[in-house]
Parts: sequence; structure tokens; C-alpha cells
Amino acid sequence: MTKNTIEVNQLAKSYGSKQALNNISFKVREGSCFGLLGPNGAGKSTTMKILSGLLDADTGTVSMFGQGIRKAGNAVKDRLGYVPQSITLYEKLSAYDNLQFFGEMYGVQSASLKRRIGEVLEQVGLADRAKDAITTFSGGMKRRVNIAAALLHRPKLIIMDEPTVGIDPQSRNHIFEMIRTLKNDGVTILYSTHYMEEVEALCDDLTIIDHGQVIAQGELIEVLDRFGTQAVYLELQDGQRPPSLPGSGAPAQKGRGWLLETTNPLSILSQWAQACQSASLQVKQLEIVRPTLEAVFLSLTGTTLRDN
Amino acid sequence: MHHGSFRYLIKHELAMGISRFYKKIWIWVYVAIILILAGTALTIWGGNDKFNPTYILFSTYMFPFLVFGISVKTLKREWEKGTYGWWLTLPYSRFRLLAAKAVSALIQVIAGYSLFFITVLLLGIYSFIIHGEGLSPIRELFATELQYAGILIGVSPFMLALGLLATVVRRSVMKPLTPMIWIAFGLFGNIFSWVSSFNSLSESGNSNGLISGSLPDWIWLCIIPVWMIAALLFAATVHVCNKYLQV
Repeated sequence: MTKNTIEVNQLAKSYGSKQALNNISFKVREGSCFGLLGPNGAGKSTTMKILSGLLDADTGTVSMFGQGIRKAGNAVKDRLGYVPQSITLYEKLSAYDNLQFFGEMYGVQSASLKRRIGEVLEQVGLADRAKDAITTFSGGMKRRVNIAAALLHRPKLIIMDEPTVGIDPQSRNHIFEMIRTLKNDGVTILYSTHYMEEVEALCDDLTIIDHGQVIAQGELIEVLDRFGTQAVYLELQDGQRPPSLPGSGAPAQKGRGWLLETTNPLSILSQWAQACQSASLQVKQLEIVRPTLEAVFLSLTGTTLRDN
Repeated sequence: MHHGSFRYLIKHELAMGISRFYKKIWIWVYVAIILILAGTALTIWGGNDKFNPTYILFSTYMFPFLVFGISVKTLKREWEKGTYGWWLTLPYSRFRLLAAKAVSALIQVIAGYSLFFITVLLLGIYSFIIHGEGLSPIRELFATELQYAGILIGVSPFMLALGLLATVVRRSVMKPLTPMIWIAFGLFGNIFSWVSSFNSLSESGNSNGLISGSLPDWIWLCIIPVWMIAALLFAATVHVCNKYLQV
């Protein structure tokens, strides 16, 4: 039976009259990467803050490693690495000195700390910048040091609150690789973001929240299948319009081709192939397209994530 | 796990507070100017009947306010540097996190007091010797210093706890309480004025605003309740930090 590292049950939190979280529940499987997805202001950060022990919920329970976080307190925090949304480093100190401080705070014994700092700096690809002051680092590099700090005490669970906001593509890719490696090592990752493609690339399971409520959750594939609509993509030579199919809706233009949403993609694919052949149209690309999280979000809320 | 980590918390606080402060050159420039001015004044006008070195003790009137400032700065730094999120998620209770701040601030304050009183004593010795007054007024100066130090030690934990509370309350839903903290800051920060006023009413009092002679016993007895109030303020800070912080 799969064990859950986190179990969130009926969590609610309000700031004055504003309800930030409205009875949200979800479970994070041990060793999985779990995506918490939602537009800005959806309640992601509030959830992350409650889980990391920064904030108390008004009602509801959170358990980690089988223990309620309110009761277990520091026993749970010992096994948790938290990467906050904002960079939390001491700018004038070097990367090494920052990590030394963070390691000491987490009780990493000094004998092994030096070696561990070397390991995590290697892991985030900044071993050659260990002695440089943080102030000379780019935003992405700072973020990587921040993640390294959260890894020093070998946590079993890492909570990452929008770790790729405002960073360069190189650092972003590095973070992705690091998350995959951590997952392979059995570390559970809770990953909050408003970038759908990141969840699609990294996560096994996800919860989509909007206005403090869960609007969809489950395994990534299951959510896409359940809430997304399949489609067929057709691109013709010279960007020509595709032949219309009787009984189907009008295709929507996407990039250089056309997308037709359908519940029977195989039939549409076949009909389009035949119609193109009959009309001697040159096909560049014809394929069944998986539904995207963007489409799922759109179908559930009527808005796109980034519009919010 | 975490054996000695409280020590590391304090070590870090001191590294961020004392060492950084003393690395600033302009601080030492000011210290040097003040010492030169005091030394010059004592050389020219010094002596028990003119510019008595005891008058330098007037500057202790601002110390309780400085303690409050050190305390605020110690805690406010986490918000200014954006490290509060990380700091609050460390595997320590908020009591321990705040206690580390309080202890480090107290160490800074005690170090500051010690330096100040030793410097004043040395200036006094210098002045009394060069003006031929011998060593007998030194005993009197030392006794006066002890009284000032006693009052400062009495009130400092209160000002320190008040500074921590002010910083936390300002970032919590309890923010409307801030004016009350400022009133307490004004009243208790002026402790020397109060003591001096009460003292001038007594027989041993000195009407020039300086404390001299022996202070009445009840003033010393007040220290215990003041420390107890300081402990309550610290407990309130921890409670606000646990329950009402807006992060």
C-alpha cells in the first residue's frame, strides 16, 4: 500500500473577511512529485506556508510522515526542506558561508558539514562559485543556492514555493534536473507553481486550486483524461485551411496548423486524412493531441491561468 | 539532533549584530572623536569642582532607548533581508528563535555597558590625577557608576523585551497595539529621569539631575517586578509570533 508523506484535510484559512483557503484536502504520496497549481492569489502560498509551519490554519488538519504537524512540530520540521518564494540568503556572505550557517542551524555536524556543502553545491552546479559572495550571483544562481540550503540536512520532503519565478532558462533546467534526481532518490517533493508546463514536465500528481478551492486533483494523466478534451492537430503545406468535416465543429487555428477538439479523435484523424488525400492537400503534420493542463484549467474555470 | 544549535543561533545573531557593527569604520571615527573631545575637556576644565567626570554619566540617559533600538534591529533584520520565512521554518520553537535574539541582544548590551563604564572610569582616573585630586574621588565615581549600571541592568531586559514585542506586533494582526508600546517606550526609556526625580526628593538626593549618594532600597526592589514584566512581555512576543503573525 502506498504511504502518504502529507495528508491535508479540510484546510481553511481566512485573512479578515477574505477566505484564502476553503476546506481544501489532498494527499501527497511518498517519493512522488506533487504539483500544486493555480493562478496568482489562488491560495497556493497560503497552503505552502501552513505546510511549512509558517502559518496556522483556522481549521483543518495537516499530517506529515503520519504525525499531525501541530503536535509533532519540530520533529516534522527536521525532515522537511523548505524553499520559500523569496530568496533567503545573506547577500554579503559567500555561497559556502551561507550554506555553513544553514547547515549549522539544521544541526548538521561540523565534521560532515564541509563535505555536505561540497555535495549540494555540486548538485546545484555551483561548486566553482563556492567562495563568491551571493551579491555577485544572478537570480537563478541565488535560487539554486537557496535550494542547496534546503537540501543540506537530507530532508525526506522538500516544499518548493514557485522556485522558478524570475530565473534564467539555464537555472530552470538545472532545477528540473535536480528535482528529477531527488525524486529518484526517494525524496517527496511538493512543488507549487502557476506554470502548467512545469507540472506537466515534473509532477506525478497534482491539485489545481482556484479562489481557495480545489477544482481538480489526481494523477496528472487521470486529470488530463478526466477534465481535458482530446483534439486532432492538422498542419498543411503553406498554412492552408483544412477541409471541413461534416458534423464536426470548426477547427481553431493554433500556430501554423489547426486544432479540432473532439471526443472521437481517431475518427476525425481518419476523416481528415481521407479528405486531404481526396483534395490532394499536402499534409505536414497530422496527429492526436493530448489535452493540456491549460485546456483543463480553461474548461474548469472558463479562464486561462495567466489571465487571472 | 541539534545539540548546540541554540549556540549556533546566538553565534549567528552576534555575527550579524556585533561583528558587522564593529567592522564599520565610521563608528570608530565617532568613538575616537568623542574620546578626544572628552579627554580634551577633562584636561582643560577637569577636576571635581569644575567638569566632574561624573557628568559623562549623563549620556547613560539614552542607553535604555538604545537597548530598545538594538532589540528592534535584531529582529527586524529578518524582514528587511527577506529571511523571515526561512528563519521561522527552522526546526526550533519560536520561543527558542526569539530567545536567541534576546540573548544575543543582551550580550551586545552588556558588552556596550562594560565598555562605557570602564572608559568613563579611566577618563576619571586621568582627570583626577592630572588635576592633583588624588585617587579618593575615584571611589566615589566608581560607586556612582555602579548605581547607574544597576539601574540599566534593571531596566534593560524590559526595554529589550519591549523592542521584540514592538517588532512582532507591527507585523501581526495586533498592530493597533503599537501606540501603547510607544507610550511604554517613552515612559520606561526615561527611567533615569524618574529615578533622578524620586532621588532629588529624598535627603540623599542631588538636584543637578545626576544620581548621587545611595538610592533608596525600594528602587532596587523594583528591579525584580520589572524583570518579571519583561518576562511577560517576552512571553507575549512568543504568543503573538505563534498565533497572530502576518506572513
